Amino acid sequence: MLILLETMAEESRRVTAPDILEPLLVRMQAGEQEALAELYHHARTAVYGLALSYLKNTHDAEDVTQDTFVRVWENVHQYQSRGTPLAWVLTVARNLALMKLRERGKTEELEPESWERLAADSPLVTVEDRQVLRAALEGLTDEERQVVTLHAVTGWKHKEIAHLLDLPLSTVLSKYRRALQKLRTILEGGEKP
Amino acid sequence: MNDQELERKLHTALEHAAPDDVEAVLARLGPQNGKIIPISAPKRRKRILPWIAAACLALAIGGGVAGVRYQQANAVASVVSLDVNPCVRLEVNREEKVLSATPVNDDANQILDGMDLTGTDLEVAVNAIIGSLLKHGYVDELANSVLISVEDDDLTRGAALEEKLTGEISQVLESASINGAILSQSFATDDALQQKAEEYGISQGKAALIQTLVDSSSHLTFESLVGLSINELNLLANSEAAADLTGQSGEQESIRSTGTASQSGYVGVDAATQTALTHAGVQQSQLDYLEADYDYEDGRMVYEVEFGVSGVEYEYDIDAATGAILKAEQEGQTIQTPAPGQTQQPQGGSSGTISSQEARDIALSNAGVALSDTRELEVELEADDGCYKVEFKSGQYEYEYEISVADGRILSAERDD
Repeated sequence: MLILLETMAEESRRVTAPDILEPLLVRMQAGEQEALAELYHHARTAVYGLALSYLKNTHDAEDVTQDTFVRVWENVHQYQSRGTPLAWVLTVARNLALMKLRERGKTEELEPESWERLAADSPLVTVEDRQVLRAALEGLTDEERQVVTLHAVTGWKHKEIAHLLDLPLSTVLSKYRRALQKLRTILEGGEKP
Repeated sequence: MNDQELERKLHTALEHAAPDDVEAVLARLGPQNGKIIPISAPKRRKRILPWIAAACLALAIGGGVAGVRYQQANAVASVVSLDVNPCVRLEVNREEKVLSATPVNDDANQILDGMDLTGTDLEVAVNAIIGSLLKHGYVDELANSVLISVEDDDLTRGAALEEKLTGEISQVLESASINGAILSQSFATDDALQQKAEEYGISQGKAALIQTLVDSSSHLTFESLVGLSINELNLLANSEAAADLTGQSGEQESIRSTGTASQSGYVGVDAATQTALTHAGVQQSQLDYLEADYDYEDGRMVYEVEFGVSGVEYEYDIDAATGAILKAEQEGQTIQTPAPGQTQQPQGGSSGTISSQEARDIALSNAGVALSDTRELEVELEADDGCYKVEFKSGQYEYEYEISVADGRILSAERDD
């Protein structure tokens, strides 16, 4: 079982690995829209996860996800080939999320009925998915959520996460541990977050 | 549920919830920045239109040859900018004659005061400008960096010009006994960059340098770097701060760097390292590793000092100008008991009177927990609040203390199950 799960983390890293994404950015620089569609397929979960962890609102996170890919397309000529394409894409996403937060003034809490809508809107989202997302959004602090989400969607090392989030490595390590403990307590204990 | 299962659930939930509507994105795609779009030709080509009109007129009146020569002599081939803090922009033709010299900022007015460089050789003009910069004290031992930028759509010609100017300016600085540091770059016309430069009132060259730093770093932003001098940008360009996203060594591929940027305005990396080691109460000989380099945090130049001792990682930010400790963090599974003779703790940086280890001991003693019984112990200096945050676990409990840096008072204490 453990081996299977390790493979899952590797899978996260694999679908967004530099050797997959880099050629897509090069093709986008040549104006190929199909390459952007492929990039979207590979990176949408990571971009959305990061955006949601900052914004705590599914609609805003969806907007930022779409804006990120449009912005990446517009500015793909600024990308310099240095082997970290996902970091570049996520930096764009993070900047847009921070901009959205500034526009909004403060983080709005998602109303309980939004969770029902979320489930209704997306047939893929299961009851368990909803519980997990709710636990992450309501039960964790902002930094805990950002760190654990990024780790889950990218499979990155903590040092890479520290760089993207502009946090000290020690903070990332402690937030990560605490986030997992809290999630475990909420989900296993069945208590309301 | 183990950690991997939890993360897997989170990943799956996000994958299900993430929008999967690539058509909506494709429908919004417009033109890409940084590509030449046929409708809006590069700016300087617009500027030569009157000359082309004049050339056509001359062609009609006086015959072709004179007209073509007239056009070539007045067409801008390259734009050279020299940045120190004053910034001068020179438009030159293919013969490397100066067509115009423009001050980009107020300081540059003083530099160009009374000089008419139009029609002179680029070499002569650059010599005159550097001479004036030296005379007015803009290039000295405190700030010795000069940025040369060449904008030219003919990249080969631009690179050759860049190399030539670098050599010339080196010689001028050398003959003035200034140990100069030169950054140089060449690039093609870029409307997006031009817009950004105009927005912030800086040269396109400085904008290009900042953009390169921002692109290669995960935490530097364009806005925060605009106010920095070329000397400070040079220090960052050659530091690890500009490489944390790339994992490559400091110097950027698109920027050439010669000489060493002046560090006379700062306390020096050795002094900063010593401050951090003293604060942590460790000796140089105990270190597993040590990294210390420039960075830019919260609006100031800092030295980021990282080191490890027996599996414990330390991270410090030291104010480069004052040597004050801005951030001190300690993390690791095992904390080495201070060796005899080290228990007399050094001064806690610029403002503190107790050290991080004393803060740790105060918290442990209050909790009644022995050091050897702790797990995940962290001591963090919260410089803004004037306290150390001490966190650790022991048994089934999780402890969090805030200890005053000034006098070791316990400001808050928490224990969670």
